[in-house]
Amino acid sequence: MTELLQIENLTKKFDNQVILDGINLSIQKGEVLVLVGSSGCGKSTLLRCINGLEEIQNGTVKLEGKEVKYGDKNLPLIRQKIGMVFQSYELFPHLNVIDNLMLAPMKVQKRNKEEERKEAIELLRTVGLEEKAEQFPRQLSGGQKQRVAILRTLLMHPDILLFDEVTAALDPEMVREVLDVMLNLAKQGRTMIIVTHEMQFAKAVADRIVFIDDGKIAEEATPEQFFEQPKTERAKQFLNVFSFEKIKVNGI
Amino acid sequence: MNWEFIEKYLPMYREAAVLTVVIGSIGIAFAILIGLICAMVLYHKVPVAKHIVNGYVELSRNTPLLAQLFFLYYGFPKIGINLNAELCGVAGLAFLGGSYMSEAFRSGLEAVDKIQEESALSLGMTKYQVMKYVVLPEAISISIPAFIANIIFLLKETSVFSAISLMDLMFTAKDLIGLYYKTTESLFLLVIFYLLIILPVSVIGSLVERRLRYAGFGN
Amino acid sequence: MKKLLAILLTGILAVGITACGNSAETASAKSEGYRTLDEIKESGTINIGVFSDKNPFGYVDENGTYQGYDVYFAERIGEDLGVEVNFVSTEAANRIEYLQTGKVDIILANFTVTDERKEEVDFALPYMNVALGVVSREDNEITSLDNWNKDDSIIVISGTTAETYLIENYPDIPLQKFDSYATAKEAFENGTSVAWENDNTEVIAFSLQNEGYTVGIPSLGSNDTIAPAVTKGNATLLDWINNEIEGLAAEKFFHADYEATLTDTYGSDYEESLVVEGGKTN
Repeated sequence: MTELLQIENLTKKFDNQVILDGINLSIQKGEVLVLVGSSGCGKSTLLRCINGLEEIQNGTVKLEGKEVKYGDKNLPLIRQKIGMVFQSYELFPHLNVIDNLMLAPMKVQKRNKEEERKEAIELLRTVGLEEKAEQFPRQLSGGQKQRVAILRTLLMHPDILLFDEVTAALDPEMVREVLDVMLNLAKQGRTMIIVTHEMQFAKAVADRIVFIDDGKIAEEATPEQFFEQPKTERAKQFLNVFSFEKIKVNGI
Repeated sequence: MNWEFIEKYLPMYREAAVLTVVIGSIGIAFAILIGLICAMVLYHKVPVAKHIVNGYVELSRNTPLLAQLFFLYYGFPKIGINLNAELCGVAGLAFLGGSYMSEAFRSGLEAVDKIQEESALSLGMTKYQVMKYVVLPEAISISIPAFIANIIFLLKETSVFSAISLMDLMFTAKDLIGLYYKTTESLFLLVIFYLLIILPVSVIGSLVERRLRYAGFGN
Repeated sequence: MKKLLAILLTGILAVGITACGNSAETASAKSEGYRTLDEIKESGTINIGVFSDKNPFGYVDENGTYQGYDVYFAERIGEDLGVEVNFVSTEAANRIEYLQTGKVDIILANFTVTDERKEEVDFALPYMNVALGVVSREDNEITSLDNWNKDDSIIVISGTTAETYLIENYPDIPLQKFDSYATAKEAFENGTSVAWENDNTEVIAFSLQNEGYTVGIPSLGSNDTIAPAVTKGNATLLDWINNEIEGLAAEKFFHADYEATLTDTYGSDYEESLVVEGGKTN
C-alpha cells in the first residue's frame, strides 16, 4: 500500500485562536477517510489546509512526497492532483454545464477539445445528466449541481478527492443521489477524504473514521469500532447527538 | 409650432447629435479603459499605484465636468499645452468617467465570492487564469447596471460642452434660441434628439443586462 | 418592453410639456409675464439684467461690485424709482428669454436694437450708438472678411448681432461660438482663432486694455443703437423709462455716464460718437 498523503504536526491559527493543533495523519492510496466532529472543530479547515487554501503556522502537508505550501508557485500543479468539492457547489454561473466541466482540463492541462468533450459527456451519462449538458447552473437543482461539481473535479484526473460537507445544503431527496455518486467512487477504489454529518453514510463508505475535537484528533478507528464502541468520552457525547430516546410507549 | 423652422434646422441638430455621439463614445471608451485598469489596481492592491488611483478617483469624482473642461481648455494653454475643443471634450469625459467606471468595476470584482475563486484555484488554475476565465466575467456581469447608468450619465454630461465652444445638442438649441427666438421649436428638437441618442443605449443596456444576469443566480 | 414604454411615455410627456409650457408662457407674457411699474415700486426692488463680464459696459469688479456704462444707468433708474436694484447676470443668448419669462424687468445688457428683436421685446429710447467690429492680433491683422482663409475661424458670442451678421453675410467663415464674454475672451487670448467679432465699442475697448491686439475692422455692418428692453406689452414701465431718458438729457446724463465709466478705457475720443442723449440719434 502506498502512502499518498502525509500530514505532519499541522498547526493552524486564526489570529491567535488555535484551530488545528498538531495534526498527524497519513492516508493510503485507495483509502476512504471520513472526518467527523462538532461544528467548529476544524475539519473543514483541515481540508482547506490540505488543498493549500489556508496558510499554516506549523507542520507540513505532502502529497506523494511533494509539499503542499500556501502561496507556493507550484501549487497550481499540485492542485491538479487534488480534487475538492465544496458545500456550495461553486459551479461557474456564466458557463453552461459542459463548459464548466471542460474549462479547467482545456486551459490548465491543455487537453484536446474533442476528446475532452467525449469524456465529459460520458461522465454526465454515468450520473444521468447528459441532457443537461447545454444548460446553465441556474437551471439545475441543488443535487444536480453538486453532481456536476463532482464530475468537474474528476475530469482533472486527480489522485485524491476532498469533500467538504457536500450534502449539507441539499434537500433530503437530493442528498441520496449525491451520496450514491460518492459511494460509487469509493467502490472504484478512489482515495477520498470526506467531511460529513451523514452518519449512516459514513458507516457505509469509510475505511477509517477520524473524530476531530477541539483541533486535535480525539479518536481514530474503523467505522464499526467508532460507532458501536467509541472509546473517548467526547466521542460518546458526540454520537449521542445523533441518537434519540424513544419518548412514547405504546402510543401514549 | 413652426414646422418650417424645424425642417430648416433639423440638419444642424443632426450634426450636433453626431458630434455629441462621436465625442461621447470616444470619451466613454477611454473612461471604460481607465476604469478597468484602476479597478484592477485597487482590487489587487498594487503598491504605490493604488494610492495614485485613489487620489485620481477622489479628484475626479469631487470636481464637476465643467471645472475639468475649463481647466483643460482655458487653463492648459497658459502653460503652453494647446488642446483643441474636441480633444478637451474627450479628455474631460475620460477623466471624469474613468473614476465612475472604476468604482463600478471594483464593486463588481469585490462582489465575486472568494469561494468562487477558491473552487477555480482548486481545479489547478493559476491566479491569472482564475481572473481571466472566472472572476472577471462574473464581475463584469455584476457591474452591468452601474456600467450602463454611467454611460447614460456621461452622455448627458456632454451638455456642458457649450462652455468650450463645442456645438453639441444643448449649445445648438441655446444658440438657435438666441438667434431666432423660436424657443418651443428649438427645445422640441433638443428633446427629440437626446431621446434618439439615449433611448437606444438604455434599451440595449436592458437587453445586455438580461442576457448577462447569471452572476449570483448560478449557484 | 415595459422599460421601453416607460421611456417613450416620458419622452412624449417632456415634449408635450415643452410645447404647452411655451405657448402658455407667450400667452401669459402678454398678461402676467411682467411686473407693472406700480408692482415694481411696491415690491421695493427692480430686477435688471446686465452683463457681468463685458468690460466696460457691464462687469463685476474685483470687489464684487457691478460697474459699467449700462450699470451706471441702471443705478440711476433705481434711484429715481425709489427702489433697490437687483442685478441679474445674463448671457447674450438669454436676454430675450429673461424678459419673456419675467426673470428681469429690464434688460440693460448692452442690447442692440434689431427688427427681429422688436418682435419679441419692447425697446425704449436708445442710449448708445454701436456698429460691429473685428479685433485681431497685431502680427496677423485682419482688415477684411472677404477672401477668407477657410482654415481660420472667428470667435463670436452666441446670441449677438455679430453672430447674426456673419451667418447672414459670410456663411462660409468658420465660427467658434462661446456662450459668455469671459470664455470668448479667454479663448481669443489663447489663440484658438485669428479674430473676434463683436460690438465695435467692445473690441476697441479690448484692444486698448490688452497689449498686442488691434481693431483691423473698426466699423462693420449697419450703424445701430443700444436701448433698454422690457417685456413685450409692459407699457407702464416702458413709458416711464422713455420719460426718464428724455428728462435726463437736461443734465447730459449719458455724457456723465461716459465720463464716469468709459473715459478710462477710451479717453474722450469716442464720447460724441458713442453717446446718445435724450434718446435722440443724429
